[in-house]
Amino acid sequence: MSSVRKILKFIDTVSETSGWVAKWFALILVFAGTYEAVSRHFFNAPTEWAYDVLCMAGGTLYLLGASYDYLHESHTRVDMFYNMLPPRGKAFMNVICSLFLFFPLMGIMFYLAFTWAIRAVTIKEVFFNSFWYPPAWPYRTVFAVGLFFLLLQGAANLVRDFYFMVRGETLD
Amino acid sequence: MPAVAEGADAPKKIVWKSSGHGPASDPSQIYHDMLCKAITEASGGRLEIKPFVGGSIVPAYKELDAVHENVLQLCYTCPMYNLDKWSAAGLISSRPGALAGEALRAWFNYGGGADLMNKMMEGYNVMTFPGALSPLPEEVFFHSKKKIENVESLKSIKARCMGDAGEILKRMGMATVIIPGGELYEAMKRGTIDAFEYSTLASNWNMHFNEVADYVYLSPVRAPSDPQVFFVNKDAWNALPKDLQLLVQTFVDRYAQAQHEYLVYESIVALEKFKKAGNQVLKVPAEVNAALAAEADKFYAEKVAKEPAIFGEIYNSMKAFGEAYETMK
Amino acid sequence: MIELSAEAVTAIMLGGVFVLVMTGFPIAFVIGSVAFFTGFAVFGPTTTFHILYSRFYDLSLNYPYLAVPLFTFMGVILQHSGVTKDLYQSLYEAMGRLRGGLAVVTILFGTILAACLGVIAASVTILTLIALAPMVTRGYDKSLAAGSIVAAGTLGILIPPSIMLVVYAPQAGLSVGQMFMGAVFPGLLLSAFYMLYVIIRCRLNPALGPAIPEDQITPFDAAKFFRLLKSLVPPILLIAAVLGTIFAGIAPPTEAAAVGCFASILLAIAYGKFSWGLMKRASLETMKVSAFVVMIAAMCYAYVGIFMNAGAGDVVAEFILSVPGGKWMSFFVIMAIVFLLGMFIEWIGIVFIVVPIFSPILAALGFNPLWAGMMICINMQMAFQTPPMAMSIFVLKGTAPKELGVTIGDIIWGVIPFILIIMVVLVLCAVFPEIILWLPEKMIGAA
Ligand code: NA
Ligand code: NA
Repeated sequence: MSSVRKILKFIDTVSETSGWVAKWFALILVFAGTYEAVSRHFFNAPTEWAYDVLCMAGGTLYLLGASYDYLHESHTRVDMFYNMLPPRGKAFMNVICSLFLFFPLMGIMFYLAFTWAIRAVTIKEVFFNSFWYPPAWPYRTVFAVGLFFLLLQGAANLVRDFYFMVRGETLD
Repeated sequence: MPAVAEGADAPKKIVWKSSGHGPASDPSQIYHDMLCKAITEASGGRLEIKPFVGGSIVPAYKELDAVHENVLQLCYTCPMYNLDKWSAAGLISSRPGALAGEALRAWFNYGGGADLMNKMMEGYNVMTFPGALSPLPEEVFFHSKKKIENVESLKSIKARCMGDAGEILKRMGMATVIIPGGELYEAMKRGTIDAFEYSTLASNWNMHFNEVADYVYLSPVRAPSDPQVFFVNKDAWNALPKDLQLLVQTFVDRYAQAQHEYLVYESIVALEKFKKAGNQVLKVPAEVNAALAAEADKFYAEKVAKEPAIFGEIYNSMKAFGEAYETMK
Repeated sequence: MIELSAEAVTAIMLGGVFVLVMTGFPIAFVIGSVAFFTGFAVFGPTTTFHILYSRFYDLSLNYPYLAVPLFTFMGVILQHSGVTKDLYQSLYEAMGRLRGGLAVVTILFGTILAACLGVIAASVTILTLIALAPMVTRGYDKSLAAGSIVAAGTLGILIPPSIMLVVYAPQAGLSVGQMFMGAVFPGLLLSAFYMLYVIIRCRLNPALGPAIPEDQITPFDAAKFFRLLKSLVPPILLIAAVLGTIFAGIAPPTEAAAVGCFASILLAIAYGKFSWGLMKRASLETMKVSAFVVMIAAMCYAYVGIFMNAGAGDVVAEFILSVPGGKWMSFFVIMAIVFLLGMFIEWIGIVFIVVPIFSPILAALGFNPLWAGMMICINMQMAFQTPPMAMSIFVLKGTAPKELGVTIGDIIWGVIPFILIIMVVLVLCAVFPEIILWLPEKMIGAA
């Protein structure tokens, strides 16, 4: 069990780190947005990069934050009935639901994100909101990585819930 | 005994899905929907084409990817929206120095335009065919709050201008701003920008842009046309019986042309509406047109040298056709 | 692939979300999965996967949605720099004698926020961060507190600037400016009715929103008045920074939100509350909130792609046209459908489903397009508050400090009266269309 615990801890650390990195993109949003507004209005010098940088920073924030939120139970639930369940009942519900409502969907989304990241490189995909034309592969990659971390965290949650459902005690 | 034969031997009904690039009230979406209905009726229901508004199935402007994946079998969109894949896609869209209405259609149908476009899309499960392009009338140069007297006055204008024209005008010293279409009205109203291009006069009138800019500037140079093209999935196309292929081609051709004519008419009507609403309709000074054309030539010469070969092929083909067309006039 | 009628798919997709969110599993994954399995069964893998992925990816890059993280950031800075606590303390003292006073202040503050924020989640987030704890810790009924926040926060999507109106207008061929004008009076009317409701309820049942106990009330003297003024300065400056940026034409709403964040950092510095810890905390909180909000939005957006592809939109249109009872009955049915859809689908989805189908019907029935569009938007505003798919409720739940112990149940009970108020206002706007049409006609002239 100790090796399983180590793996789970490692996955937690990955999600924590992912969130740690993601949060800085909030500051990029603030400063890039302000820079563009000031530069355009007061210096008549709009940037050609702000629009895409803002969009990509936002996407990075959401996607790298997804696993962090899953680790910290921050994805919103309709918990009216869920809260009435005993702890083992909750664990059972989580196991069943994640097998049917999480892994198929997010597994496929990751698979597509992965193939699109590669495709973005091969077709030299660019963003064309402005005439900055930045390459799309970095963001496509972040999108895939974010989903991969989310899947990892989903797996860790599943193992913990399964253990608790069977044993009635936490694995950690 | 035709009644007996019907059930057993009737060919299987083919169903296609087709998307415009919306919104629902846009003439190109309306003509797209009319076309789908017409084909369904004319084929006696053998080929049913279900029309969808842009953005309702796949994100707006991502229609071609969906046709490639056979999620959609047909779509009607601006070539420019595929700039993410092909830098040359912008050449067959609204851009300075492109071909105007009749010349563009003649180039596309007879001058090798459709073939070049198919060549550009090589490796994709998507094609277009002659007749599948509607050139649209030339676009407004700008709706502007400020007067454009000469090249120098461009430098004091903050304008939303997308695509190559934006890049070229920026090289000429204008401050070009990236603002989504939905934010234009507000941005103008509040003075965030001084001017913008959006779409044809008719569409712009429907967006009530007369309320936010006093001057409507016309010019044949910034965007002589803003073509929209039908793209079809190759497999879906090849699976059609010959007669239905002919039917689709004929109707697409007819409706693409009809939309063009309708929009020319609508633009004339819309221009009157802009005048009646108190807007001043002005021509861009010849000096500015000439400078823009010259800068565009330089810009594209640099691009041709830098971009993949197909870019130069399309650019030079259009340029040569345009020059021949002018000689004829 | 299974052959299913469009009617069956409509029922399965709407019913599936309703049933499965009750499992308590994160709703983003539930909504995405309903679309995933329905699509898989009806259209097969390639189509379904492409639609879901392309829409998911596309929404993650959505520009207007950037207002979600930005206004969240602003709210967190405001809260953690302590200025809002001062404001609340002062307002509470000023309005302490009034039962339900803090809820009234919350609604008032929400209305002001609505005038500078255009994204629903952002207003609810700020109000939750600023107003929930003060109300609950001072003995307010959790439902009343939560309901006030949800209702007042949701006004952000109706009172301009508003993303919803910006998206709606071009879809229906209407002017954004006219829609903005049209939304002003219905928005203010709602706000006034909300406050009236709180005052009346707390008068009837003082336990819901207790006044300060008599023995604790000290005279509202000059010192307190000065403290109130002082505590009002930062939020007013901040709102001025955002509104000013928009109205002076410095930047469109999304960038104005960034400017507002920047201004909030400057304020924190000016008030001696700035630290790197605060920056980190605000960024982390922003990431946490926007990641789950946008995940839900993205999954709804993906869901709509499957819904439309199945022809479920046509099912709805045919249903309306088959209703007997004339023009007003059809209108009532349309409003009822928007309301029902709003229970399950995020508003962007409704705009895409409803506008193409309903606009021509409404025009054919002879309704004023601006009025009809505004009625639909006021109605859609309810969608944020109607379970099971209620973005405002989720945001409040996700943002609320856990130690307050506010449950989804508390929030839903609190929201119901406000939904009834919105319905009353809708009826008023139907009887007196001038509430919507007067200002646009006055300001711009009929077009
Ligand atoms: Na607002
Ligand atoms: Na709802």
